[in-house]
Amino acid sequence: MSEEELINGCVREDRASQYALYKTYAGKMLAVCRRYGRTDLEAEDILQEGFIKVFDNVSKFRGNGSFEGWIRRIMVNTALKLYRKSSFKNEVIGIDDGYDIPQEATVLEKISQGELMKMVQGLPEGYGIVFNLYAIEGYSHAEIADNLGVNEGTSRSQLAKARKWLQKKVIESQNIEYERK
Amino acid sequence: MNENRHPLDDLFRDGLDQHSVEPPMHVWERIDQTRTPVYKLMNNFKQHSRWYLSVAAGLVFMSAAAVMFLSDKPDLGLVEGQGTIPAVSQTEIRIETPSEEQSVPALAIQEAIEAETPASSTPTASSSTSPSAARPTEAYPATPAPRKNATQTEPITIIEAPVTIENAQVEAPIAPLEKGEVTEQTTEIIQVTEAPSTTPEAVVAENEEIPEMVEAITPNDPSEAPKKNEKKESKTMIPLEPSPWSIEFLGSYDFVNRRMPNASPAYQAARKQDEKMASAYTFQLRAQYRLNAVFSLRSGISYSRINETLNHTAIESYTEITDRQVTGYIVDPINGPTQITYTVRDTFNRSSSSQVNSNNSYTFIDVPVLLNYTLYTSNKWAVGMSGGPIFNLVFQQKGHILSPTQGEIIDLSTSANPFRTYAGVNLMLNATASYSLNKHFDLLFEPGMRFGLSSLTNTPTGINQKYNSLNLFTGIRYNF
Repeated sequence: MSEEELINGCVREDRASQYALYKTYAGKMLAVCRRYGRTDLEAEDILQEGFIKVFDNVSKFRGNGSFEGWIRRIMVNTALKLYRKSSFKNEVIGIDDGYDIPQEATVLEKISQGELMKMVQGLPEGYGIVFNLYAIEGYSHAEIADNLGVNEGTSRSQLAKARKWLQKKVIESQNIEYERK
Repeated sequence: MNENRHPLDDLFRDGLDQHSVEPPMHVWERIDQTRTPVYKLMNNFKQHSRWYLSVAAGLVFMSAAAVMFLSDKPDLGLVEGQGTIPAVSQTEIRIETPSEEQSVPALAIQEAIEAETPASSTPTASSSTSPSAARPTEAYPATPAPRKNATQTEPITIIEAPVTIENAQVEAPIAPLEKGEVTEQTTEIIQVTEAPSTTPEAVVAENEEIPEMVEAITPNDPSEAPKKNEKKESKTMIPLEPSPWSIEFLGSYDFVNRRMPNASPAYQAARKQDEKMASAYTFQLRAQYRLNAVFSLRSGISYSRINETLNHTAIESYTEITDRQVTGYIVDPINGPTQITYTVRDTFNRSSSSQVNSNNSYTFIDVPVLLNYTLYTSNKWAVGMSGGPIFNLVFQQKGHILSPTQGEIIDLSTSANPFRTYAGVNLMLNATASYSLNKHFDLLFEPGMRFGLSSLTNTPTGINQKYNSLNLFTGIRYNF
């Protein structure tokens, strides 16, 4: 079934087409949701709500850009809506004497997707969302600030902290690799 | 878009952009369920439940108010020559006893008739006679003994005297009469029969016996008139029966106690440490129906809210290992001191903490059905007790709680929410006291307890969470 047929089937609310669409994109989208959800359960909730929105609004897809990108945007927006709805006031994390690594000195060996995912999921919530939006989704600081209701300075600051936190995790991962060798 | 790329950004973007995991089937099953028309309808109702409930409560309230008001109003219509003259409640009728020249007792029933005659009435008697032209009628025969004080007036009271008009040839409804007027036309066209009633009646009729009351107020001996009238007045001054309906609005600051009888002591301790009660309050809008002198039934709508704060600190421990290059010297017995570089591995046991702060709220919309028993009454005070079930309509939760199974924080807006959407049946017991401010308004004081009978959490969670609360209601009652 082609993408166009899938879309047309979903517009007609054909159950088989909806299932096929889910099977095609749910894996990638769940990976996206897991980067934003605090737990797997929360990620599944985002995925569920996101797909319901996709099915409800598929007739509004005009073909400007890829269909996968459109679905991904819906998932990210659903996750951000949940984040805004959350009544978490603040979340801080204490990092003990973290040390910075000069960019040019970073020697990164191949790190598995699973490890990268674990690191991103381990980011404190505030840092994690900014890093995901900026580094992976490609949002600008202005867009992030607008979506999260913070100023651009906060977004930059959170990104810097996220990078610092991840650098530390990457180095730990590398050291473990060395020990194994 | 991004202008300053960092190697880490690229590392994670390249690694995760196309990352995919196996999607669980149960998510599809949940999505599939939401596509059914029934679910969409239910979801729509759930999303707008507050609006629907508000409208329903408003309609119930307006209907109850309408029933209460209309049930006290008599029928004003005259249909096909048959109808009812509405009751006249404590309407004072002044009767001027006739003067020597004026042999006809002048009965001024203008107030009563005006009050009860439809506005569209076409007066037929207004131009019939002047006071000097008034003549005796059979309904009000001339009083044989002229009175010295021809202008003396004597008030009497007529209470709740419904009069049924049968076969009346009333093409033009009863017209207001001027003081001292009784028109022939009026008495000729109306045949009046007494409606069954236990109250005194005032009947105006043609060719009928003189009503007892009219007799009483037209004494032969003027000197006896005041006494007779006093008797009549005392006989007829029956206080009006107040409406059994009243409406009450109460508010309470609540002291809430949470119970989790089935939860482990460790979990209870963790919840107790993390969650603090912030405030709790209840508002009730109730209607009261008095069944008899001591029993009354109260029901309406109740809104309760419990606010808590969650402050949870999660500690994560991890081990950090770092290698560093150290340059030093060793003393070689052959070559002497030699510089070497060696690696030193440092191992740190570190911990990080994350702080979660959340404002939790639990909202109940209930229908209480309370039976009140009055133990003591005085002029101003009434004391009693009330009790009965409270049926929950809506139970909503917001915020975060500690998971009963995994030790993590659960967002109550997700499907992991362990609470039910229906709080079941609770029990309320109150001591009641009311202080009468005036005829219509009472102040209410109702300290009491609300007992949670049903578990608020789903069975698999194993918590069996319930709330008991001490309520201190104060409010006001309007008696109709």
